Amino acid sequence: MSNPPSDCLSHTGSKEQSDVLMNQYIEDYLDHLCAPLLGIVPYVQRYRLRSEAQDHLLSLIEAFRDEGATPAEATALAVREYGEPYQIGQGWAEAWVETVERDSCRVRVATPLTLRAFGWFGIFTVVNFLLIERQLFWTHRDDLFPLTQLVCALSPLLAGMATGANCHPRATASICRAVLLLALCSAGISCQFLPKWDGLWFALIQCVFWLPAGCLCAGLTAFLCRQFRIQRYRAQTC
Amino acid sequence: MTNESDLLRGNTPTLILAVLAETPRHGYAIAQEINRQTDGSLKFKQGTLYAVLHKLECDGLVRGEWQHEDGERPRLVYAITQSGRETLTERVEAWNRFSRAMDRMIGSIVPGDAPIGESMGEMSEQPA
Repeated sequence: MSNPPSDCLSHTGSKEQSDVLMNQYIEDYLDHLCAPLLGIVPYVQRYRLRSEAQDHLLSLIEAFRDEGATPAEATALAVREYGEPYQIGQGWAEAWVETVERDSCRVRVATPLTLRAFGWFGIFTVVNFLLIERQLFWTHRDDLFPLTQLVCALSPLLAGMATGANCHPRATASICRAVLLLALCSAGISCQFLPKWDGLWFALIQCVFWLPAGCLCAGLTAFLCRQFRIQRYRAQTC
Repeated sequence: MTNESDLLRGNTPTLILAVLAETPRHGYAIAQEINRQTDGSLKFKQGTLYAVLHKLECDGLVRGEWQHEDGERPRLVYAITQSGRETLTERVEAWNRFSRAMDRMIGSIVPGDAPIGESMGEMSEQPA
């Protein structure tokens, strides 16, 4: 863990200004600590974890200052003692996922991430649906076929990237639930508005291709985004 | 070092239950008590305690309660439950059995002696 920003160390203002800068640094640390929890842990639990971490850090800072450290030194020692924010947050997220998956009675179907995945995959489902309708009913069958194929192939990748941009890499269960639900809806709606086999074929593609491709893309995007945030945080605090 | 980390990771719940068995504490106090009782010999990042505390709370082994005292920050204080005490007893018994077995197995080896492989190789080369 790196030291607080150099402007804190070199700041020669009043004690109050120094304390404000230290508090800002701690709040920034806590933001990065809780980042891996977004979309995984409900807000109430996240707030509780953040409050506990803040109290723990402030206690550590007080202890180090009692030993004679300056505010900047005490803060640096405290965050080093507490741990790398993304690693600690990752540990919390994994503990939460383990306890939720273990207790089947408390599995939440509509987590925030499930809703986000449902939204993004739903948008691309509607787009594909409209293309299929247009191809079947409004234009010659062969005109839009290559475009429909391309859009159908790219849709899970784009939806996965949009879903994974701000979620935990291991939270693919939420994406699976969303895509399976969409496939069921597609099958039901298709049978009403499309020739039966085209609609069912699209639903089958969603289950066989969209599901693994979407989950893989979302997980990869989440991993890369997390690595980017970690590197940016380290660069800011060096 | 890796072996020590693995040992610590697997036994952190037991350490926390042992500390809470004495008196209810909040997270910072738990970390300080572990450091005090072990003379700082167990190296761990204090933030990792809260993931373990969450699991213990979900298992019903500890119970957290916010305490608000005048002039103090609100703190979440953890207390061990009856189920936690029973689990602690089981884990202590299991640890004692394990450590006795390990002592019997490797207790005669003195740190600083030749590595086990070399000494056993020398033994195998000796005439019967």
